[in-house]
Amino acid sequence: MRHLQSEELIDLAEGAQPESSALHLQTCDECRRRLTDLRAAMAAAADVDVLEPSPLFWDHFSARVHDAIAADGAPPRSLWDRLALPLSIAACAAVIIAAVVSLRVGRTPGFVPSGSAPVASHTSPADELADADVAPFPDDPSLDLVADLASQVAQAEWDAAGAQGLETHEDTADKAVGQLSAGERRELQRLLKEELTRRGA
Amino acid sequence: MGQSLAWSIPGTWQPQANRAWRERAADPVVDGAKPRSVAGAPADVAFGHLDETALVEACLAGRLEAFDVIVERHRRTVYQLCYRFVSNHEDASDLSQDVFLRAYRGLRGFRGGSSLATWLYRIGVNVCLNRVSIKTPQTESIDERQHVDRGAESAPERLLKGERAARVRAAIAQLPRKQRATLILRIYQEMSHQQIADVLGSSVGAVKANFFHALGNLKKLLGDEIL
Repeated sequence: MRHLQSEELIDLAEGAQPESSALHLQTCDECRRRLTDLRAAMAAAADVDVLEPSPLFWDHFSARVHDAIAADGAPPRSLWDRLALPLSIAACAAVIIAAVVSLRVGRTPGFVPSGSAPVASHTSPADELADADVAPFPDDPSLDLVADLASQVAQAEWDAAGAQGLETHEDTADKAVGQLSAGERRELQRLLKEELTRRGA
Repeated sequence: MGQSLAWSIPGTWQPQANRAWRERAADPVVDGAKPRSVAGAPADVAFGHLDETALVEACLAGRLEAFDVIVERHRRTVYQLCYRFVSNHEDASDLSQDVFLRAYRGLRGFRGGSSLATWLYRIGVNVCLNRVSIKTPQTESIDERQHVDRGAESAPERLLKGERAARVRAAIAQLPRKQRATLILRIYQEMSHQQIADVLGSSVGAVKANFFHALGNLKKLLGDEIL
């Protein structure tokens, strides 16, 4: 004979299952006694009142919590919220520096970036042909645009990026530019030309 | 009781409920309701009618008044939960404040997977279990319970009921932590087994088993004469 399990007894004690559904109860004194004890314990526990504080307590309580939180400060920001601004500044700075360096590289005859050798070995004939189109600008006015963009980044933002340890270094930019393919450099210059045309219009 | 244990914490999470609390807060409509009282002063009617999603967003945007409304809505249930664990007003008050302070600090971690009430219960249970594990609950004497509404009970009846309640509280305080938490959430907070499982981070089966053992131990501790 299998006695009722604890879950079954709880369901019966709470009325979630009717006693008629447990035929075992009709023949087992032990399970009936356990069920009676469960119900008696539940009734005894439920008969204990919650002591209701004075009505004045609630406003006092809210004021206490309010003051404690005001003293504690604002909820801490998430990691992403804290890093979003410095990261965006760093990304912007990296793009600007890459543009400057790539333009200078383009104007230097015979210059081959140290990191470009493996890339060059995989360039297609079409890329090599396109590479021939990457000629230096006569007066290079795009540098003015880059300078303008850089000047629009407030000093405070640079400081904030520096404080987060996100400073960029010239050496890093050189490496980044060195890894650009000829097609990527051509696309960067096209975008700069497009912007210059718009500014000149 | 059984079937009457229907849990009814208001304000379930509604993901697509408005995210434009700023607009509504700027143009408050209180539907003719009496403004709420927050922190001892007239309520900020701009926040009093917002749902919990909008309130949480407002809090995260730095509007402390929005958290005042959250406190006002949940302070009673949080206090009652804490009181069930510690059985005295002073400790329950301190613990309740701690629950709200921790909730505010961790508000950014509230993802809305459960209702704000369930989340607060989870914090409350953890705070209370940590507290009672390092401090034996001190139940209030009968004289200190003057503010309890006893209705039409006679003095001898009040005395008898008070003594009986004190014994039950003391017995509950001796239960193992999980059993005590389960019994409190089930009987006093009237939460479903599933909701208790969510709060305690366990399964429905484990909740029922804990409840079963809690009642069994309570029966042993109280003896036959009180049941």
